[in-house]
Amino acid sequence: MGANIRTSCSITAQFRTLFLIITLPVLLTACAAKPISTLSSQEKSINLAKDTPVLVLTPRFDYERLEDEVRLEASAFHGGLMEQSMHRFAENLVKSREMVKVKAATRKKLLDANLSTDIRKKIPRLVRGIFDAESKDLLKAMAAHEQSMVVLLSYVRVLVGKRGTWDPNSGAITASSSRSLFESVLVECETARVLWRGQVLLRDMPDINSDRLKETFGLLYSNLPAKEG
Amino acid sequence: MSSISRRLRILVVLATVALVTGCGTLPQKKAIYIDSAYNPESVSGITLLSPIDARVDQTVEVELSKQLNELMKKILEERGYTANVLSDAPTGATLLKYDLKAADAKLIKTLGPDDARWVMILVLDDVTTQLTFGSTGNAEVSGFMFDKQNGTTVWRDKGIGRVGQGGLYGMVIKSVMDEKAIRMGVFNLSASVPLRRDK
Repeated sequence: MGANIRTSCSITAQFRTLFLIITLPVLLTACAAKPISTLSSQEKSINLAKDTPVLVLTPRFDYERLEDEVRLEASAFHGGLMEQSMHRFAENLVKSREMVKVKAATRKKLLDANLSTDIRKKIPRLVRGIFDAESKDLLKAMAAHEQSMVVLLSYVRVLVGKRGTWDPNSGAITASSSRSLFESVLVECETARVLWRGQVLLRDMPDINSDRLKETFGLLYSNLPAKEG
Repeated sequence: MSSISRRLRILVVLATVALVTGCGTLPQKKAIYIDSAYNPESVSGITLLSPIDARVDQTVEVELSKQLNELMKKILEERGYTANVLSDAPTGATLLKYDLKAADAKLIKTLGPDDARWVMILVLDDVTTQLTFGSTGNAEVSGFMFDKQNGTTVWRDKGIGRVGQGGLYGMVIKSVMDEKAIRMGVFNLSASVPLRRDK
């Protein structure tokens, strides 16, 4: 009788070990893997006249806590580096598509007049195509510095959530809840007309060291208008 | 000996009382914003207006009114309020969450029917499901309550729903994960609505 119980216990223990050996790595891999899925939407756009000067404004990254949308310090997430990286990417893209960049003198004038800074503050609304009177005035003032100028505005809103979890007792799992929305818009400064708009949703936090960040930039700008002719 | 036994008995009774009270208490949390002058007892009835679908990724099909408003109505009633759902309220579709966050008296007074004083709008920010070795569901729901008479925001909060189950069973029940996550999100959101004692 005692031997039977011992054998039964030993089989149960062996089964449990086998079960854990099989399921544990799978579960841990599933929880550790970064759940990334992207969704891209691009509004139909037109081609730009070949001499249209394009101003690529430094993108803006905002970080918020998912639970209560409280702003978090961007520097804690390499926000500045991300902005620079995205800016470089967009500038290179404009160059590779042989679009005309605004003159350096114009850039300086815009900076001196605080126009670049002021318009950057309004980026979250502008990328959604919401232009109030003040934004229109700012864009018009920018247009006065270089004729038929268009501006490329980009905004990334990162909602920092909790990581994925796994409870070995109940088998309950949860996925990471962080997500980032990359938005960009190309606007004609004189008329505040939206020429192109792109959007990519990343179900993760952007990582400066990951190749996926550049993939996301590429996806966002993939349908950016080309130069005419 | 009898003194120890009596103390033990008192302890057991106290523990039971604590447990029963704990189980019967409705969940409560701190809201992102609540008007310091808000008095739940002065709220005669809350009108739930059409929910806003603020999702970028709309791949999951959601019955907004049923999954958000009907559930919130039940919860509000449990919390002591009278609530009614107005699915065809003349608001919602054209409003953005951003507008609600920055709502001024002028906008607030236009929300919902003229005879409603306390109006609530729920916003579905996101919902997603995922299949791994098991399945998970995440949902985010925001809520706003306005006092139309005074043109003020009285309550604003956000509820997060994170659910999931590992293993084969989890994989089988993936189709209900979005529903479970939204449900959890609405429950989580409602936990900051102050309880109304006087019905």
